[in-house]
Amino acid sequence: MRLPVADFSKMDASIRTLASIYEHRKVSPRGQAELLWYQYYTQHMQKIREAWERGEFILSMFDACPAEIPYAMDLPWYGTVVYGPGAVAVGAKIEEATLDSARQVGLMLETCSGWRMTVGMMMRGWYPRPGAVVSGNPTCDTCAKCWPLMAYLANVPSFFIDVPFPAGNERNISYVATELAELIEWLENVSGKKMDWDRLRETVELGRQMVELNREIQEILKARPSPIVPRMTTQSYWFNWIYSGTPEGVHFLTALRDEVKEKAVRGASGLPPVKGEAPVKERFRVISIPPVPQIRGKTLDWLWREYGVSIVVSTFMLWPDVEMDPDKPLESIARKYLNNPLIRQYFNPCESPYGTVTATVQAARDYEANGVMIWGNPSCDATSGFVKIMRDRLAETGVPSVVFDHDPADPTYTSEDALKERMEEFVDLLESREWEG
Amino acid sequence: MSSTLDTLNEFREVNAAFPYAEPVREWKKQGGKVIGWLCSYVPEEMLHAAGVLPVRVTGGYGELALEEATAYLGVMLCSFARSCLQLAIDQKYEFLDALVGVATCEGSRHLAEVWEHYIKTPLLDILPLPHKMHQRAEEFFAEELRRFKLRLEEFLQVEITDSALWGSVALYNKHREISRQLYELRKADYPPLSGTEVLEVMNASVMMPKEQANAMLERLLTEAKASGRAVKGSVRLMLSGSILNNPQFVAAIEDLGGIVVVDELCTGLRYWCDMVETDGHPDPVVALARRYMTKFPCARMNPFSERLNRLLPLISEYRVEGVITRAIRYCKPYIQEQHMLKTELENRGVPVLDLDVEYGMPGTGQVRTRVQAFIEMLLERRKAS
Repeated sequence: MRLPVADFSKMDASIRTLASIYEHRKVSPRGQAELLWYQYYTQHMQKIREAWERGEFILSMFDACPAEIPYAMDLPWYGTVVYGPGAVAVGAKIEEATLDSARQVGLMLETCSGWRMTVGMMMRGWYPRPGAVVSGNPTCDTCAKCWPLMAYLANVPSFFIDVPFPAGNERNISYVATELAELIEWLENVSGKKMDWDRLRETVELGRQMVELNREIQEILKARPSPIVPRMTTQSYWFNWIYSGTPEGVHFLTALRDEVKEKAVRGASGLPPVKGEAPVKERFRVISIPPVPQIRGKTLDWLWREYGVSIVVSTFMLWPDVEMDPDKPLESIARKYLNNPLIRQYFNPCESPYGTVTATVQAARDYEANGVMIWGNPSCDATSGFVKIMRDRLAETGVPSVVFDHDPADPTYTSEDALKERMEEFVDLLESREWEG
Repeated sequence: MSSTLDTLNEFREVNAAFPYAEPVREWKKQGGKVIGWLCSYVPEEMLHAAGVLPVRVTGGYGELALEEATAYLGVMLCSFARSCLQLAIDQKYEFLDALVGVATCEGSRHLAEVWEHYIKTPLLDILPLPHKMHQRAEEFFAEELRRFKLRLEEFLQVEITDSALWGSVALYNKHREISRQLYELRKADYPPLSGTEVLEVMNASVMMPKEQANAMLERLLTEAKASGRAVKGSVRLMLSGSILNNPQFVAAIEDLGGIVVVDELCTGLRYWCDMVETDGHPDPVVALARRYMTKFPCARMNPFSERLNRLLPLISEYRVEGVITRAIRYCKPYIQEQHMLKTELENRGVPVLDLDVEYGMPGTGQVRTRVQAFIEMLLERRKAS
C-alpha cells in the first residue's frame, strides 16, 4: 500500500479554524486559559507544518507518551490524537474519510473511532509522513496495536514503550525508565539528533510544576459553584499530554489555576452568563469519566444553562503527588508517565487503591457530586470492562450514574438530540432524588 | 477417512462433560484442589508443582447466548471473555477453587476483574506480562512469578520446592514433546489425524492431570501410527488467529475438502511448541520466565515481526497452501494485526482468507461459503501452477 507523503489541506483548515476561534475569543474573552489553549494548540500544528517545510525529521507519537523526550531532543513531533481526532472538534471534517480508510485495513466498529481516525489520517497523508512512530500500551490494546500498524503502513521505524500492568509500582517505574533510556538511544539513531540532558532535567522540573498546578486546580474545583467551564475539564487534560514538561504547559496551567481561583473566591460559576442574562446557577454537581468528549463542549454548556448541571471535575484531572527529581530525569519522567491519571486509573485493577472505580467513588465524595456521567464508548474495552462494577459501587454509596452511549470522535454515532434526551432523563433522576431528600 | 481410534474416543469422553470433565471430577473426589487459568501465559507448571490440578477456563465448544455476560463486560469486549463469564454466571465453573488471570489483553484482564467482583471463586492474581520479548522482560516476569509463587503458597498453605518445580517442568516438557510428535504426523501427505481431531485432543488435555494426558497422548500416537489411517484433504491449510475451542469450526472447513495440517492458535501449536530450558538454569522460576517470555507470541506481543517470524517457517514445514486467519469478535490484537499478517503472507505468495467470527461459532452460513470459495481458489491455483 502506497500512502501519500503529506496533504496539509486538513491541517491548514484546522489551523485556520483555531486561529479564528482564538481571534473571536480575544474579542469575547471567557478567560485567559482558554485563549492560551487555542494559541498553543494552533502552535503545536504550526510547528509541524514549519518543520516539514524545512525538511526536518518529524516524530509521530501517541500523545500520552512522555513528550519531555522529544522536547528535550528538540525533535518536532505531533500528537496523533490531538492533531487527528482532536481536529474533528474544530470542524476539520475528517471523520467520514478517515474511518473509510481504516476500514480498508480491517478496522471496523470494534476499534475506537479515535484510533481508527489516526490510522485513517496516516493513510490519507493528513499526517505528514513521520520519520518514526513512538507508541506504548497504556491504556488499551488498541493503543498497543494501532501505532505499530501506522508505522507499518507508513513504512517507517517504530518504538514501543512497554509498560507492564499495573502502572505505578516502583518496579514498573524502573522498568519503564529503562525503556525510556532505550527510546532515547533509538531516537538518536533514527533522527540524528542528540539528547540534551540539561534540557531534559529542565523538563522534569517543569513537569513537577505542572503536577503541582494540577493538584492546586483540583483542590480549587471543590468550590461551589464549580469555577470551571465544563469543556476545560477535557481541554486541560489534553494540554497536559502535548505540552508535558514545557514552559507552555506551566503557563497554561498557571492561567487556569488563577482563573478558577479567582472565580472560586468570588463565588462565580465557571460558565459565564449569556450577555444580559442572570448568572448560571448550579443545582447539580456531576463528575465526568472519562473526560467529556471534546465534540460535546457546547452540549455541556447547554446542560448547565438549561438545568443547572455543572461538570465539577473529570477524574482524569486528579493527579496524585508525584515525586520528581531533575537529577533522576528518566525515573522521574517514568513516574509521572505512570501516574498520569488516565494511566494510573485505567492501567490498574479498577478496584485497587489507584484504580478507576476507587478514584471515582472517592471523587464523588470529595467533590460532593450528585451524580457521575460515564461516557460509554462501546468499542473502548478499557471503559466497558469496569462500567458495571463502577455503577454498582457508586450506587452502594448513593451516587447515581448514567452511561451515555457515544463515540468520542465520531459525532454521527449519537445524535445531539438523542444525547440531550438522555441527559434530560438523568436530570429527572437527579431531581427526583432531590425531592426525596 | 478410516477407523476411529480408541484413545481419540477417550479424549472425546473427557470433552463431553465440559467444563466439569470426568478427570476433574475424579480429582475433586480425591480431595484435590482445582485452579482455573485464563490464558496460555499462565505457567501451569507452578500450579502443578503446588499440587493442584490446573484447568484451562474457556467458553466451551459452542456459541452461547451472552446477554448476561455482556451486561457485565460490554458488547464489544471479546466474545471469548464474555463466553467464559457467561459459563461462570451459569455456575459451570463452581468446581474451581481459584482462578488465575493474566494482563494479556483487555478481555482477559477485565474478565478477571469482573470475575473477582461477581463470581465467588477467588481470583488469585492477574499476572503482569510485558509486551516485549527481551532480557529485561524475562527478568521482570521472573520477579512476578516469584511473587505469584508466594501468593500461591500462602493460598494453598504449601511450599513449592525447586525440586517439585523441576519435576513439573519435566512433565510439561514431556507433554510438549509428545504434542510435537503428534503435530509431526500432520506433515504427511495424508495425516492420520484431522485438524478437527487434533483440536479435540488439545481441548481435552487441558482438562485433566498432565500425567494422564501424557499417557493418553502416547497411546494415541502409537495407535495413530499403527492404524494406517489417512485423512485426505484437497488442500493443506493453516488455521491462525484468536483462541479457538470449537472443533465444529474446523470440521466445517474439513468437510468442504480442506485439511488443517497446522495451526497458529493458543489452543494448539502455540500452547506446546516451546520447551522450558532445563540446562544452565539453577533457578526453575527463571527458566519458566524465559520460556513464557520467549515462546511463540500471541498478537498482543510487540513487535509483530516476532509472531511473523515464528509463523512463516510453519508454512514450508507443513507445506501449507493457504492460511485461514480467524479473529474473534472483538479480539483487538488479532483484528488490528490482521492487515499486516495478510500483507506479509500474500507478499510471499501465500493466499489468506480472513474471517471474523464470534467465539464458539461453528463454520456455518457465510463462513462456509467463504471457505468453500477459498478452497476452490486454492485448487485452481494449484492447477495453474
